[in-house]
Order: sequence, then C-alpha cells, then structure tokens
Amino acid sequence: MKTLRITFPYMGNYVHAFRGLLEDLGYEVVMPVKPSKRTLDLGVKYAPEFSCLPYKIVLGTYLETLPKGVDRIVTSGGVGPCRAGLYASLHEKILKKMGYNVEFIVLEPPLVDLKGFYKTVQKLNYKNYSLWYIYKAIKRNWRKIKALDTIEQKALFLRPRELKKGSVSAKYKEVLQYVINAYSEKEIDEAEQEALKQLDKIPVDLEKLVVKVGMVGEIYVLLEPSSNFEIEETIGHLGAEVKRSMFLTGWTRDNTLPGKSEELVSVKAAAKPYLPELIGGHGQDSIGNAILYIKQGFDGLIQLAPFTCIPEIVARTILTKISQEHNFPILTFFLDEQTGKAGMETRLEAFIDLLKRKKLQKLSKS
Amino acid sequence: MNAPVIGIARTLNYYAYYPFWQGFFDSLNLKTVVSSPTTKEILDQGVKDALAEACLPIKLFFGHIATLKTKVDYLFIPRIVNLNRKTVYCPKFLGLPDMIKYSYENLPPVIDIRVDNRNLKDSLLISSLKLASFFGFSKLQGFKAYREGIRRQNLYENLLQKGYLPVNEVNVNSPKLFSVKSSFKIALLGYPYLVYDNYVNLKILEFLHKNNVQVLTAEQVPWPIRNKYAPFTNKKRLFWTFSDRVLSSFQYFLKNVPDLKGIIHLTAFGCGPDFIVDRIMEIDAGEQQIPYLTLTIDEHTGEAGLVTRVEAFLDMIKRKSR
Ligand code: SF4
Repeated sequence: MKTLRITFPYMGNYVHAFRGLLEDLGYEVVMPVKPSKRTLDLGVKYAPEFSCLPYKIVLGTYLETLPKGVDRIVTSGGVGPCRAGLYASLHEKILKKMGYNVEFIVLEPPLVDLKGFYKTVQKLNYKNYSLWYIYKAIKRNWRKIKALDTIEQKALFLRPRELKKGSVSAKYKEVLQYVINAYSEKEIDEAEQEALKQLDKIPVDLEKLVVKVGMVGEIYVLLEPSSNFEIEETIGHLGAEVKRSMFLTGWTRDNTLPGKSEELVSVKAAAKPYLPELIGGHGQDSIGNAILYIKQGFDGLIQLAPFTCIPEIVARTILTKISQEHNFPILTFFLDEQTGKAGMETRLEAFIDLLKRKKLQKLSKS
Repeated sequence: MNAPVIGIARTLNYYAYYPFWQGFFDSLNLKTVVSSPTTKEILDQGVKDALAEACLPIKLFFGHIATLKTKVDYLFIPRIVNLNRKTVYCPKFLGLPDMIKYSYENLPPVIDIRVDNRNLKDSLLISSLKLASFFGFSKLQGFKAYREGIRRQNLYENLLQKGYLPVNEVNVNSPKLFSVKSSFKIALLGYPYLVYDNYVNLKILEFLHKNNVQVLTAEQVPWPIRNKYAPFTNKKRLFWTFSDRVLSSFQYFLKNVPDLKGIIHLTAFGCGPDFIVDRIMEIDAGEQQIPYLTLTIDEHTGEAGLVTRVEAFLDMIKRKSR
C-alpha cells in the first residue's frame, strides 16, 4: 500500500507530538512550516478579508506546505458557536477551488458524536493497526505533550528571574530537542528529567521582585507564539512571570473525557456570575480564569484575541467591569495582520511598569 | 401603581421575532416601547458605547439600548440560544444581556430570560410562563399569552414567505410594503437586522423597489424547505441560525429560480460568521455564473456610494442579458 503523505496546522511545540503520532500510524509526515511573515501574507491573500487571524495563518500554512505533495490534512473541528468549527470546511472549499486535491480529515469532539469520532479515527488509521497499537501510540505521544508543557511552564517561571537576559530562551530551545527526539515513554521521562535539570542550572535570582501576569484568550493565538509575536518571551524579558490559562494537556482532557477536569469546572463556576452562557470560543474561560487569577493574587491580566473574535469581544466588555471592580489591570490585544511587534512591546512595557509600581506601593504599605 | 413599561430594541431579533413578543405582552396588557427606527445618532451613540472591535450590529444594538434605557422600567433582552432545535445564534446574541449590563451604569432591570428549545427547562413555552409569572400572572394567562405570540409569529412568517418586506417596522396587522413581482429577480441576502433596517441597508430595498426589481430574501423560503438545503458541504451545516438561513435559502434560490439575475450579499463590517457565508456564496455563485455582489456596511458607508455600486451591478446584468 502506498504510504500517504499528511500534514496539519502548526500549533506551538505540539506539532512534534502530532508528528510522532501520525508517523506511528504509518504516514509520511510533511511538517508544516513554522508560520512566518510569508505564511501570513499568503493567508491574507487567499482568505476572506474578515476572517480571523488564526484562519489566515492556518490557510497560509497549508498553502506553503501543499506544494510539497500532500495527500491528507488532519485538523480539528468543532460545533460552534465559534467559527473555528467551520474553518476546515471553508479551507477545504478554498483549496479545492485553487486546484489542490487534498483530503481533509476533521476530528470533531468525541463528546458530541462518539460514533462519528470513531469513524474518523478509523479513516485516519488507513493501515488498519489494532486498537491496542493505536492506544499505545496515543499514550506515548500524550506523554510527550505533557513533557513539552512541563518544560514550557518551567521556562515561563525562570525567564523573568534569569541573571543573563536570553539565557533561558536559549537553553529552553536546546533542551526541548531532548523531548522532541525521544520516542518511548521511558525515553520521554528521561528527556524531561534531563531538560528540567539543565534549566535549573541557569543562574537566576529567586528573590527578585517579579510581577505575575495571567494570560487568557482564544486558543490559537494563545498557543502559537508566531501568531502573538512571542509575547510570552517578551513579557518574561520585561521581568514578569506569565501564567497561561491554557495548555493542550488541560484542553484536550476537557474535551475528550466525559468527567471534565476539576480545573475547568471551577473556571466555569467562576465565570457564571458574569457570563452564565457558553458563548463559544473561549470567552467564558477568559472571564472565569480572570476571576481565578484575581483570587490567586496575580498582579494583572493580558487577554489575547484575534481581531473580530466575538467570544473575546463579549469577554472584553465584561472584563472592563471586572477590572474596575477589583482594581485589577487588564490589557487586551486584538491581533490581526496589521499588528506590529514594536507597538505591542511598547504597550507591554508600559503595562508591566504599571504592575510593578502598583506592587511596590502595596508592599511598602504593608 | 402604573403598569410597567418594557423596552425593546428595534434591531437584531426585532426583525425576526418581534411579533411573538408583541403578541405575548399585548395579551397580558403589558405596555411595550420599541426604540425608534435607526438614525445616524443612534448608530453614533452605539459606536461610542460599544467596544471598538465589535461588529456593527452590536454597536447598533448598544445605540438602541442607549435611547431606551431612560424611558422604560425594564429592558427586554432575552437570551435567545436556540429556537429550531438545530442551530444556535451567533455568540454575540448569547452574550448580549451581559455586555449591556456591564457597559452601562444605572440601567433599569434587564430581563434576560433564556430561550433554548433544545431543552425542556428553557424552551420558549417554559420561558414564557416564567416571564408571565415574573409579572405576576398565572400559568393560564401565561399560556394564553404564549399562544397569542405564536399566532402572530406564524402570521408574520407567512407574510414574509409571500414577499412582505418589513421596512423598519414589523406590523402584522397592517403590513405595508410588498415586493413587486417582476421577472428581474435579485436575491438580497443578509441578516434580517441589516436587510430590513432602512437606515442600515442605506435604502437599498427602496432603491430596488423603485427600479422594479423583485427582491428575494432569505425569509421567503420556509424552514422545511431550507432545512433540506442546509449542509454546505456534504458534512456540515452552518450552526448559526441566521447564517444558516442565508446560506440555505441561497442554495435554494440557486437551484430553483431559473430567472435569478443576481445575488447581493449585505453584510456588516466585522461580522464573524459572515466571512464564511460570503466566501461560500461567492464560490458557488461563481460556479453557476450568477453575478454576485458583496456590500459591506460600516458606520461610515454613505448611501450614495452604495447606491452607485448597486446601480452598476444592475447595469452589468442588463448588459449581460442583452
Ligand atoms: S474563537 Fe474567535 S478567533 Fe476563534 S474562530 Fe471563533 S471567532 Fe474566530
């Protein structure tokens, strides 16, 4: 049987785990190119004007990858009310119109339609591996995702405390490779240990006054650094610790297992008084997490959203009120292709400065 | 004590479901006030009050609420999630009452009952009964009011199917404007709060009318028929009610109106779902070689510019068919 060539949208470090899984399933993986200016330009050119940034980036990624010869694209679906659930269908239509004959495999959330999900998985499994084999492959790569998340969180903690600017980012890039190259669960374990150990060796100042910033928003711009100009790195270098509200390990669990994780339940509960309705995207999570960050004594919040993203617009409207009520600074970035890195950095600097001043004031009072 | 006055905004759901609520409140003898038809001032106010990134319809809604809020005892902003058991409303509808509540100080109480026909707890009937009892009426009175609402709503939808074009005003008892019948048929597709609002649509409905063009709108295709035309690929339908309505009626017109001369898509700046709807229609219309025009409205669009474009579009069609 011919080996099929497959690709998928780029999304943070996770691409490495996706790759592993698909290779286990017998595919030749055509790695999506890390989104660049060119990717975005391509997306902007062929996507509808009012589509949101993630839509454009993903389309651009496909357009960059498909000329290399791709038989299949695997991506996620969704059932609304956010637009993301229809991305794939429209991408497919646009690509077909442009003459690309590629087959889309769209994974819908298993909670909604278990049978459909199973069917899609079977289609993906074109080499007919046993369920046990697939289970093992998923488990292995899931372990990898967890390791990637753990290491990333460590870097987020260390970055604002490093003695030499840039040392964490450099080391982080290096040790990430350990995990990326590991295959078996045992290897991944070891790689993770080693990576953490190496990171711990970086000289840091643990006594330094560091402000803590929570980060909420729409999933793609949160998880894919190229879509947000590596905002987490910038914030770290400004001397603030970022806590991102979303990691794939959390999200996937909440969307696959019937018993949702505790964390999400409390996020929902926290959002309820302000926004009782699930409005799609991650609008409700943005509100809930904001409240939780306030309770945990964070110094401020950053919201990232694609321009025209409705759930986040609804959230921002409510966040304004929450910010006033709790005297809690919140900065929102609506991102589109016109957003520039420089402008963003200026706003971030001013924001982090403000948080530091506030914190010092509070400390000197007490 | 005077009977309370309930404020309703003349936008968004107004052009779709007002007859139901009017019937309901009338039957209970509750007084309602509808904000005046959209004006420049109303839109400007909305632009000021809403988030800059919000889409035009949200801004419009803010503007209408701003004119109402000092004049009424209650603001009626139901959270309509689902009515047909199949599709939900765009996320902005779902968060509407919250956005309003957290944006204005000193608001009269907001009635934000939830309507979701997919579950018993929040179905239109149950929510109506709750609403009635909130105002101190019995279940029976509530039920009667619900029935009256349904009656008027059906009347309205029948009128729409026959070609009634409710310009600025939804009036079931003495409906005014009917579409002309003509062999020059244009489908004017878009959300009811754009198509039927004479300020927002920059009088395009009137313009087409004057030029003896028969206007086909999404509301003219009954739901059971539309339902059959819903999925836009073999797999999925649009899951937002109004978008689904536009796209499925589009598919219906494309296949069943042989003398369809062209399609105009009226869309609002910053509308999330619409970029999907628009591109699909553009591709499909192109394949059938039906002329297609997208008109995007924002707060700066001038009537003159828009009319010129529509004129040019009509001319192009006439030249083509000669
Ligand atoms: S959540 Fe926002 S950005 Fe994401 S698809 Fe929906 S509207 Fe677009």
